[in-house]
Amino acid sequence: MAGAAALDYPSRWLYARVGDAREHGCGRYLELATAVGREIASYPGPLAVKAGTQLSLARQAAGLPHYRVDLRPWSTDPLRRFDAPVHEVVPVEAAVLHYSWVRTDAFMRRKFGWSGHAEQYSKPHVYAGWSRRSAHPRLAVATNLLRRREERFRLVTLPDNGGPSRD
Amino acid sequence: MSVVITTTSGSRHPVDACLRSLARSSRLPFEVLVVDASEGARTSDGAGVPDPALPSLRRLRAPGSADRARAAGAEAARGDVVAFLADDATVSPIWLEELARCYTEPAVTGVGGRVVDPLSLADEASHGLVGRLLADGRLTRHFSADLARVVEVDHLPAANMSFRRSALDDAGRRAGASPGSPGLDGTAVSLRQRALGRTLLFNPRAVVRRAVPELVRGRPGGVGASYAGRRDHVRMLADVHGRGMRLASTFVRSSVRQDVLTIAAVARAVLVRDPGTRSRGTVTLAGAILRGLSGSAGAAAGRLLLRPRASRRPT
Repeated sequence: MAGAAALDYPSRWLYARVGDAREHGCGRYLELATAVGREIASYPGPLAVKAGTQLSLARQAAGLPHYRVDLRPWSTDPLRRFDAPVHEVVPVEAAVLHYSWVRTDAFMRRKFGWSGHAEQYSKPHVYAGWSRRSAHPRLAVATNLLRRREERFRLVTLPDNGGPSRD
Repeated sequence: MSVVITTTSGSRHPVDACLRSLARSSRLPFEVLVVDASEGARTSDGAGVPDPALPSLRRLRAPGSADRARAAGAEAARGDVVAFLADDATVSPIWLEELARCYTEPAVTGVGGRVVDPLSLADEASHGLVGRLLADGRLTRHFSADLARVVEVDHLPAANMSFRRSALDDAGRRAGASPGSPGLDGTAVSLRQRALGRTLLFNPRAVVRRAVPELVRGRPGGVGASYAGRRDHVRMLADVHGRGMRLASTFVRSSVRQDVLTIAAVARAVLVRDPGTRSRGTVTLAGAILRGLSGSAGAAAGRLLLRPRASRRPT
């Protein structure tokens, strides 16, 4: 990480827990993915910054050199340019699991009210879409190509984090 | 420390200015070697009377590439550390002192510094990490970045790099020589050291100024340069990391992918977002397609033309 001010480490963004299956300590989730079901990395903000780094927008380090870790030798983040540099590759299993939307219906309704992204999330179609896809995950995966790159999913089985299921 | 100044046939810069700046250094080199890679005897004529402040000045001839000239200079050098400069470079007074300071750490094999030219960006440091080999085989440069401290890097700028002579001997001076593309000049020497697990440092206080910007050096850009640049890049990665190394193949895949996505992005911009400028945009799109195809073809050719042969890894 020599010379970098921040570490961009990939996270796998879990959109929702589907069903209520908690077998063998695992759960089924809808995860952000490519149209053909390959893993992609998302970066809500740097995982670590050097002491003294001036942050922008609470947790970003805009304008400073980042050491970027990704899941493939090229950028898999749909929100970044495809030629964004990748300094190191880690296996999918080593990525951070981001469970922020893996919540109950009631919690999600509240979250869309107080979240830092409330302005965007409080629109009715965001909750409606989340609720519909959580209830019909296979349909959500089958219709990937009809949606934007940032709204494509795959079904995965992951270790249960003990959090609440949707139901 | 020995300083090797290479001058090539395309250069119009006599080394006098470089020698004068060296003579004003706070720490003088043990010796200076001017290696002329040009076909004629131009440099010997062009280099004036050596500055009396310089302890020793020798002139050599090694017609061919800058890499060949550097190899000849390293072969003839007698110092423990060999620093390389381009003929249009002038050094800051503390340049040699700052390079030498980094070699107090025994693990350090090579040290380079900033290269500032008329087109250098003031905020270069914000554009990315200095001197890194990316996961897909591409290289970052940003060698004009004015960082606050010494950082570890994967490769050094050919215009301002130095190595322990013993490390160059180990790796073989000609082994890993850069292919012909100007953008890769001297890069393979550094990458080879890193491939052997050695430490290279970038010291931003060791500054070299160049008269000619890196962007306008060498052959002009275009379809041919795009082809040759990618082809040579693949050859260099394969040479440095071995023929079976996945990095060269990853670079080819990444290049093709990026070319396809670039062409798609240009096509979207021209045909969908801004149809009013379609006639002018079509030319832009054609250029993007040609550059993309030639670049991808170059990368693929570099990979396909590689033939298995005995490893050049040092014994």
